[in-house]
Amino acid sequence: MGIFFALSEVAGHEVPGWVTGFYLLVLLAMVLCLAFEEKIHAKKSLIVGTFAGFCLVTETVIGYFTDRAHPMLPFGSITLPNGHEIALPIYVPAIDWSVITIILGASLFVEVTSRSGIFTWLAIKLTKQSKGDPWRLLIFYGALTVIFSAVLNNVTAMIIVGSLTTVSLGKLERRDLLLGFLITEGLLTNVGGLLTLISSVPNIIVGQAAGIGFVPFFLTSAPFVFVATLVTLFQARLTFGVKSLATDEERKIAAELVASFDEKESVPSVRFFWCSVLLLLGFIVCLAGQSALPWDLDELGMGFVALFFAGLALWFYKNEVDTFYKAVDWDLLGFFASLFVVIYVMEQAEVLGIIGEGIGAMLSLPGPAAQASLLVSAAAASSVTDNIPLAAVLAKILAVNPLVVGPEGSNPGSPFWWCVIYGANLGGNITPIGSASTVVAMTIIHKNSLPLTFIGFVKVASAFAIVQIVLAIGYVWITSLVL
Amino acid sequence: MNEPGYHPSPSRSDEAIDEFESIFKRAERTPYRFADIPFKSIAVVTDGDQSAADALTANLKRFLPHTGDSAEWQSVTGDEFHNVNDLLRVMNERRPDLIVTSRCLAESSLVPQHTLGVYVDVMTQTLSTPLLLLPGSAPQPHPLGDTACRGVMVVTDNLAGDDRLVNHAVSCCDPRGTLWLCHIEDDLLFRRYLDAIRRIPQINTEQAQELIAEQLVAIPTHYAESCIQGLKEAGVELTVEQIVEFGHRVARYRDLVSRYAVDLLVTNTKDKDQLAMHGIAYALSVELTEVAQLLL
Repeated sequence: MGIFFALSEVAGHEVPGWVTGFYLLVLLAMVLCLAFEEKIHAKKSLIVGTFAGFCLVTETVIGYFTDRAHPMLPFGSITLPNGHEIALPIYVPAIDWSVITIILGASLFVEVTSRSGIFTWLAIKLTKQSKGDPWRLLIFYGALTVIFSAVLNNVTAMIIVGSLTTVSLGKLERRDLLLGFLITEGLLTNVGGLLTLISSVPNIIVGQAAGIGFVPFFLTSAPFVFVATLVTLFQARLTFGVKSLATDEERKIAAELVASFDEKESVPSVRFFWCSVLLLLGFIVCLAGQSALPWDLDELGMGFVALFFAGLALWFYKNEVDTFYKAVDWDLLGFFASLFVVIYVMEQAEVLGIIGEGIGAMLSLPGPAAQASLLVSAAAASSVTDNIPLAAVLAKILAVNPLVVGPEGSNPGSPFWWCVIYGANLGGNITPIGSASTVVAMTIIHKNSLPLTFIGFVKVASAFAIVQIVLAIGYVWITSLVL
Repeated sequence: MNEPGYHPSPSRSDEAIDEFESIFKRAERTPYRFADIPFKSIAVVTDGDQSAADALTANLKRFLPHTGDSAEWQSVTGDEFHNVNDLLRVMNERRPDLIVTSRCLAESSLVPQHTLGVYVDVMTQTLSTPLLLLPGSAPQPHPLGDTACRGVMVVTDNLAGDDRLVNHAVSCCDPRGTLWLCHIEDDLLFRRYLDAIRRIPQINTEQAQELIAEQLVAIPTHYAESCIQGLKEAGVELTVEQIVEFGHRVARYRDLVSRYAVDLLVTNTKDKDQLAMHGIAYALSVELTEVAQLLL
């Protein structure tokens, strides 16, 4: 990140207004393309990669013709902290590699440890514990969704819990509840995605920009996640008519049906299972204590922790690591890398400065109003487009706003960071395209031939999202007073 | 509309959803539920006279000790029916829980071979009552033996979840006897599917062969294990063995019947989607004539 800021300082150029306007339009075009990703039938990495290439080329050419002495893109060597200079293509230091390494390491780690059956074992175990009672099942699956979203990521959580829901409700012959369960789980993935710093990409981006540690993040968000989960579950009970079983006979039959699941079936090796449990605990402990690691090990960052544990886990499959490399979501990583390049170009073209002025006006409102408007704006924006570009742009803007970072240039305790985090995550619950996990929820819903349209989802889910957003506004305001 | 032969690759999330659904489906078991099958009323149908029916009834009481004297035994002799409709009418009037009869009933003059005869054929398809087929045929009966039925073999190509088949087999077996739960997967059919898989570049043939075969065997094996556990919990002290394998069904069952002391085969006859008798049941009932068969 230091290199990132250094580059923008080096620039020191005047940007004509038409150039800023042009790149603002380019940014809007990219956001629109991402919103219509399904219609374009192109992957995110390709869409954003194309925009990144276009921005780099045009900004270079425009810089050449407008002010050759001070090009907009600061080409040249990079000075390392030890004084050495290194020649890197401009688009390499433009990327925030700490974010990329966290995502790469964590996804590899999850990919390998999930092979141990640890997550499916837990899911089946809880299904059996529910004894097939629909209300208890909804509570257990809701809790599981939140935990998996926090520990894994919201997409994997939705896939695991959604798949199990389909199978278990089918077994219990309660497919009438399937739609309600899947919608609730989809909504809870974005609540669970708030629990830890690495639970969702907006958390990682904003957390890194703000300098919020893993433990402070968890301690701040956990009470909200707990309350929001409970409220969502009770709201789901009322909305979808999920009731407990009424008679002993019904309870007996349901208990017998779920008891026939064999959780051991999903565990290929008991040894690897327990090793994965230990690795997972170690991973969480190391992330939590990363800033306190001794002997300057903290300097290696969270991304290294994630990659280190992924490397350890890969030793269990040392002969077939290539299968895990193939399983990494390269589209997602390519998307992030390209996105950072686009944002870097936008920064040089002072597009972020223009947006920042608008946001600055919003932040100047009286305390609670400023927080509420930022949170609601972030939620509204992330409901119709990807919340990752939103988080990346806002993080970059807030990181230089004195109302957020104060005179010292750093304030991890500012409530505005949390407005972006809550808004970017919870906004994903308003529409089915608002987050990757609600897209997956819709995929499972359609796979099961359940009738739910885009508008139908919005009608049902927005009621939940509004309650969650109101809760978040209140929570941010209270914590800003208390902390 | 896709062009012919174009099959788009599933997305990453589609693949992952399918993968996890498979994992959870694999963890799903079909539990066996024991139920006592009481044959309260049994109709013994012969084309002979009353004395032949009485002698057969005495043999049957010994052969089916679980039912024995507790059931109401009725005789339907040759003079009570002259065609299939007559016999069906008698059965509909008496509504027995079990019909006992022979192959090629009332067809002595036709010297029948490799057939069940028209009476049995129609009864198996039009009546829902289980039918116990005696060894041999009406013109050439085989002795039923002078001991209780101690070896019962459940014969099916889809054992998993068929509680009715297993419970009927249990009800016919002597408490000290042996119950074989058999499931033979048709290897010819499997090879045909593999031939199709070999032509699909997106599917690894070796892996498909291994994994599909593993699951085809695992599903009935798990169910058979559940049967063993369920019968134990219900206090049934039979010796239960499972035979789950690939092979040519008729050949394998002929081999198994010759290898073990099987007194009775229990099989399903009705297919949900066709009127004709279930293929394997028909093949076995005309091939393995020396053993009694309970057709459900």
